[in-house]
Amino acid sequence: MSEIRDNLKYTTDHEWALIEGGIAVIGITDHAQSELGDIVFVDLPKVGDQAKAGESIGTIEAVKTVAEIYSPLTGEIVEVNTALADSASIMNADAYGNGWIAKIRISNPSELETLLDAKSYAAHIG
Amino acid sequence: MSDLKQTPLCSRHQALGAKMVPFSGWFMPVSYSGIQLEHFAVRQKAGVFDASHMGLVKVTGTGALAFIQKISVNDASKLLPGQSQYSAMCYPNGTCVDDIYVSCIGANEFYLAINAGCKEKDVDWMKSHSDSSVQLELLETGIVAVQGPLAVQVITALFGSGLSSQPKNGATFVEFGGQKMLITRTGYTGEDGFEIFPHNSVLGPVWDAVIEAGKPFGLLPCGLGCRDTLRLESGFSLYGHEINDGTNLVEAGLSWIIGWNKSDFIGKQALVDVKGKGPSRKLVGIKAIDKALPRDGMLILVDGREVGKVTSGGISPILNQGVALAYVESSLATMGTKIGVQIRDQVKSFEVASRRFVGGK
Repeated sequence: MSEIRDNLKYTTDHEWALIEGGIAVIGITDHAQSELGDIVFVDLPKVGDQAKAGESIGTIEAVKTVAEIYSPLTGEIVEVNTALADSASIMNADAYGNGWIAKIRISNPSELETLLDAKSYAAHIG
Repeated sequence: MSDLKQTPLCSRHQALGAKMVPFSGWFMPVSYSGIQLEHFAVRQKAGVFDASHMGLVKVTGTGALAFIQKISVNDASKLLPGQSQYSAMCYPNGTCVDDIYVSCIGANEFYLAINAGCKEKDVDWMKSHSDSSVQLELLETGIVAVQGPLAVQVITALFGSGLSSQPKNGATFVEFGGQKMLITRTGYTGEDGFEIFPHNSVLGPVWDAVIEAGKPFGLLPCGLGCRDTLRLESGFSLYGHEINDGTNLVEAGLSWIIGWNKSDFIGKQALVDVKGKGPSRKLVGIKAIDKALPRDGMLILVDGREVGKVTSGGISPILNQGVALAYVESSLATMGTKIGVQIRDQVKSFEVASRRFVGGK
């Protein structure tokens, strides 16, 4: 069973967001990393990029497949996890911790209402 | 899903926690513990694969050798009993029906290992070129492939030390659970290894015995995921990708399996013609210069002009680098030539390399 954390918000595209004041830390869920299998490269967004909710901000290359990273929220990218550039497999090992992808300064807080809570996400992945 | 075929080992794969996927009409394990972990097990220790989706055809009769000489491009007259060779069956135009492994057991007894997705087509093709002097039988066997530098120790633990002296491409019979079965020192990983062809009735016990005998050697059950990364890293062609009914063996870099001195075989004239003129495109290895993962079907570009296409691409876990097999215009098929690969909206830099990315010359 995939791990789902109660303190996070989720998208139906299997990203998570940790809301800390006006900043969202985002990543992909444990379910997502497990479905992708061995992740080998990631194309990260750049600091200063404008992310739009539901739009691609990067790409994850796993051995067997490639997946887009869809931003859960709209806002400016204020930090990216550069450690992933050298070892993308951190996303497999620690999807909710050291495998975080980026931090976004939330510009449209009303979008938080569109995200799933842990229970709804659990139901979504069945 | 329901019309997917299952090997007799399917329940064992699921009990081992395998992630199962459809492949060539079969429901097969893609990995158990992780593709890269399994890949490294095979490169460094040992791994076991269920390749029972593939087929084995027994060819017997006084016309067996003449039949094989006709349908198979390699020269089977060079095989002594107990030897195997890689080969292919071609259409008259030199394109590929399937790539096969031919094992010789006696003057009138051969075994042909064929690909899963080609079974029916291959057997029809063989039947249409055989006569009453040849008996063909698609056997009710599976394939258990034990691969890796320690594979010989696993096999020795199971079947005794006699097999350790078997040369590469050797073929013989062993007994297990009262059943005789073919075993060849062959594989599809670029490592030393053996392929065992047990009857379906003893396939499960053979698999279990390999897993058990392999424990002290760090053997892992391995899925099709690492089977693909291993063969790609070793530059081996996969039917449906590098070779198919639209590619000839010369451009695929398989001239070395062609018995040019044989009096005749199906496809010979066409292949002689291609060799004489030189192929217009060639299969090459390409390596990413920066971080990039090429995938099947991506276009190869030079100065914005399309010059070829990726046939198999992915990661080389050993090099930790994107690698691919690709057809390019022959003028570009020299080591070190810089080319681009269109990966989504970007063109990434690659260079032409040996197809044998790992462990080769």
